[in-house]
Amino acid sequence: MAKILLIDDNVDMQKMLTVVLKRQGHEIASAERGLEGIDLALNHPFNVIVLDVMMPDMNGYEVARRLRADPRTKEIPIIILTARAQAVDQQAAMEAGADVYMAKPVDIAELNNRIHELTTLGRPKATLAAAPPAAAPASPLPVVGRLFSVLSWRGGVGATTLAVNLASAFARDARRVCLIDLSPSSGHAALMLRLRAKPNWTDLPLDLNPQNIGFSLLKHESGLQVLASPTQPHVDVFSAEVFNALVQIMFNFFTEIVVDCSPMLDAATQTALTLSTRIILPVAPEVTSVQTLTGTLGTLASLQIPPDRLRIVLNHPTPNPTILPARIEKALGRPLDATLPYDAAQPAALMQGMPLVFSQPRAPYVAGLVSLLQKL
Amino acid sequence: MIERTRLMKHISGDFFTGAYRMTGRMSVGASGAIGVLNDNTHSFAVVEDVYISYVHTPGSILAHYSQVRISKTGLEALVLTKREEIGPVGVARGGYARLAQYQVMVTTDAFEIRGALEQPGKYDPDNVLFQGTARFFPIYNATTNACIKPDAKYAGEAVLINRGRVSAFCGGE
Repeated sequence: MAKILLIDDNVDMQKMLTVVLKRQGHEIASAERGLEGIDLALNHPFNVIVLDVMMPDMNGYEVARRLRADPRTKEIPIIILTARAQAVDQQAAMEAGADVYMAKPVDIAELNNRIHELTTLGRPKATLAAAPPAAAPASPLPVVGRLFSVLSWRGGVGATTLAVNLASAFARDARRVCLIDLSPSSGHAALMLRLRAKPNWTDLPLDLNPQNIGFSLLKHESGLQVLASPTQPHVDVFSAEVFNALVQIMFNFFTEIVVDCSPMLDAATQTALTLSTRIILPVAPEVTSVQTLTGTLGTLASLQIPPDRLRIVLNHPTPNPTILPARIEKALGRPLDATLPYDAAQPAALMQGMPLVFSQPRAPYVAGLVSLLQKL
Repeated sequence: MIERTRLMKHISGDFFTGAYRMTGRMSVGASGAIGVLNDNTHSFAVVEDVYISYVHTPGSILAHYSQVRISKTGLEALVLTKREEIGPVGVARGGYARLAQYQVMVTTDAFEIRGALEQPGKYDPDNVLFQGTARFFPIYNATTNACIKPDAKYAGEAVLINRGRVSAFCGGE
């Protein structure tokens, strides 16, 4: 259980959170003022700091900035709670150094989940770029965020479902995340989020820059943004240069980018794979899927992508597997990194446009996804 | 003698004047936020625990005051997270008639507000802008953004707009 510091001038809120969190077995210390909270944090080891924004002497943003500036406290995860619940406030909180932003009134179950994740997984590693670039050079890519590619050259293994849920998991953690659907023939990422795929990447302006890129993105209610694929097959796909520039600009606004790769090795997919922090390779428990993945691993090796960047995920899109995990591992010559169980609720979630991460956060599929997140 | 007590509750919201965003709590009675703002016997609304920001730097807190009196004339819009904070249906809508929704954009000196106007029957902006004595009217499921910083959007299930500050009333589809 964690040692938690509550910094909130509202005594009632402080008492309520103390009771609730103590019930979960956490050890709680509290401060009513920002400076008092900083003093406590500097002198005692805490696992998590829960911080209010609106406090009289020093507001929560300033407290977070000071905690991040001190080597003794810079690695302590910070959850910011605030009644200022607008998008600009979330942005301000994240820029001040918060790891999680939650609007009041507080959902206790959600707060518990966030504390659990921060204490078990630690702080997200990505940091936000301070300012947009003046221009968009094609290379090299600055390492300011994380790019995850989800790749399967065989259909029906749940790659898009995985990409959508992965991006949703980042959005749930108040990360700034963009999902890019690279499918040139009617991708379904937008549909799975109940978004109309217009605009999509065919509407990207020719002169890509930080000011105009937002017009091509779809916005999901969770905060997740999507660069959708066109609903009709399209021949003019991204060039490597355009995709590289796009990602570089996006990292000014997003801390994570999740790419649902094209089902073919086109230039954009190849660039995405090269730039990826991790490449997630879903495989279904069936012979044809394993064969395709074996070929994919060979292709990735020929692209000189280091094997330690790969994460193989055994996904169960149907309830009846036809091949055991041990046999898959033997065929691939490497262990599976995570397993996503079959979830009967998945089809309904997709139909409703609400990924399981949001609609059923305790579903077995989401638990599997959390174990995958630990390995990214 | 019978002692009468008034049931008061607090609602939180973002109060926008031309240059400032003020986030705070307002004590309202049974008639909700619209009842307080349309009470013509008081020129100022009393807001507590107020955090003030410039509209052009809405994430930075400029000052905090435990109590602020905001001029109703100078208040351009109040963004409320929850629709029910506006007030009871009868007060907010002016009746219980079956309502139609019309998508509108309302501009004031400093803001543009897009959302749904609810009216009984056909679209009638004159009714909203000129009839009656109410100073503020509601727009639902609205997004507000300042002209000076259009990328910062403030979403709320309801926005109360000062009709005396309206510069253009657009839409009706």
